[in-house]
Amino acid sequence: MSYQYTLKVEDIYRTYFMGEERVRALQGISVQIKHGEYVSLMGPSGSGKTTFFNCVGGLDQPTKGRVYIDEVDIAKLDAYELAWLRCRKIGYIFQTFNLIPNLTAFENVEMPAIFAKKPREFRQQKVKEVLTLVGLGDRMNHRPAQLSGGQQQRVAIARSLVNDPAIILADEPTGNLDLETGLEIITLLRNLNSEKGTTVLTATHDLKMIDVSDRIIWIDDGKIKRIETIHNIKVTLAVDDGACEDPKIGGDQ
Amino acid sequence: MTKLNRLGLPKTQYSTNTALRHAWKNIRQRKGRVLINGVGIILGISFIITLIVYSMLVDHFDPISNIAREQSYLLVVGLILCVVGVTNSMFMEVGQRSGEIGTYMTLGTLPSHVIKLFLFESLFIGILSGILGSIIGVLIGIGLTLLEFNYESTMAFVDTQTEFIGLLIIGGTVLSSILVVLASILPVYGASRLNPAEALRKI
Repeated sequence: MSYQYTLKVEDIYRTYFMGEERVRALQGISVQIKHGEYVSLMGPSGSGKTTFFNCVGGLDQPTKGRVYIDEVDIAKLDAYELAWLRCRKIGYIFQTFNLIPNLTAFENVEMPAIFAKKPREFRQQKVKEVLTLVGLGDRMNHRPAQLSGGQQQRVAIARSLVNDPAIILADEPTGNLDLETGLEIITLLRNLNSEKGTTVLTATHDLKMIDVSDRIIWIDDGKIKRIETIHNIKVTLAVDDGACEDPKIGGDQ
Repeated sequence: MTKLNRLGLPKTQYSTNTALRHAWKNIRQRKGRVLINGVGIILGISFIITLIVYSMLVDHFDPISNIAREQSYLLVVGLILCVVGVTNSMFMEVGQRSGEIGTYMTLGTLPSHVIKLFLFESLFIGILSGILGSIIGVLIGIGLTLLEFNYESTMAFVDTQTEFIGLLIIGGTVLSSILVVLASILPVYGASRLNPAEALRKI
């Protein structure tokens, strides 16, 4: 079943303490993402991207505000329901790949399907299907240490897809990759979005992501600065209003 | 039938068979780390078994020595050192693997799944270390006796005690497994309660 908004975020705040210092990581962010959209959350390091990602992914609780995934308010879920949501509704991709080092590519991808209690035959078929889809049909029995960074990220993408989630959340998916491999991963994510209709939200400061995104949400200091569509942003760059000249954007690259 | 929770969503699953398979795989792949954990337990168990075997043999050849009673204090110290050592190792192990725990959580594990996986790993370490430690303990116990008493008479007595020595090795293995699992409970429980975002930050 497909809902109008796969992700709806209403005025979320996240405040935490670092020692004595109070950090306002998110200060009233509201976003609505439709089914099948590819949205990039752009901003410099420390702008609140990962905190936002954690809050919408059910990995952290916002201090205030609401997050709905497929119209389910995740603040109302107990630990069991949250685990189910992470397993079935959300696919996570991380900058550091986060594969289980002792398991093969096949076993890593199979994990979420095991937790989702999918039958063994179904799992075998589905895992092969998604690994082939990301171009790793011949690397299924390799462990992460035997794969390149780009291949590890492909395994992570396959793992995020195995339970057909409502949304894929990718936190800096190209952050640990070279330019060319990063571009391959971006293209792969975009193709999955266009061909399978998977909703994708990436948190990134990689400007290459602009070309493939339906919308770009620029955040800084925990607040949304502006939201642009792919069409707008090309115009914006052409008139050189400094959108890409901001020294803080891409500062970590 | 799958148990449903408040919103009618099924619980995520991690069967005992799968957890055992993953735990065994983790043990096999992380031999170096397991060896470091295991050495402490092997030493502790072999120390305890050595004391038992040695005092049994000395008591046989010199019944007025009363060595078993004298060494009971050392036995208790050995047990305590073993538990403290393993607990410390498990805290370090869990700390190093908190990123992995965070990843498991993003895939849909419940705290009970994390506990299951880590306790099975501890159980395997306990069994393997227990077998090895008990055998080493028996050999050292006999070796120490041979330093003081005649070879033939010692070995002749050992031959009559094979059943007891077999039980001692089984007992040592069971004791090791129990000690390691008990020592792991606190660190593993702590790991299972981690906030996923916090755990992922430690990668």
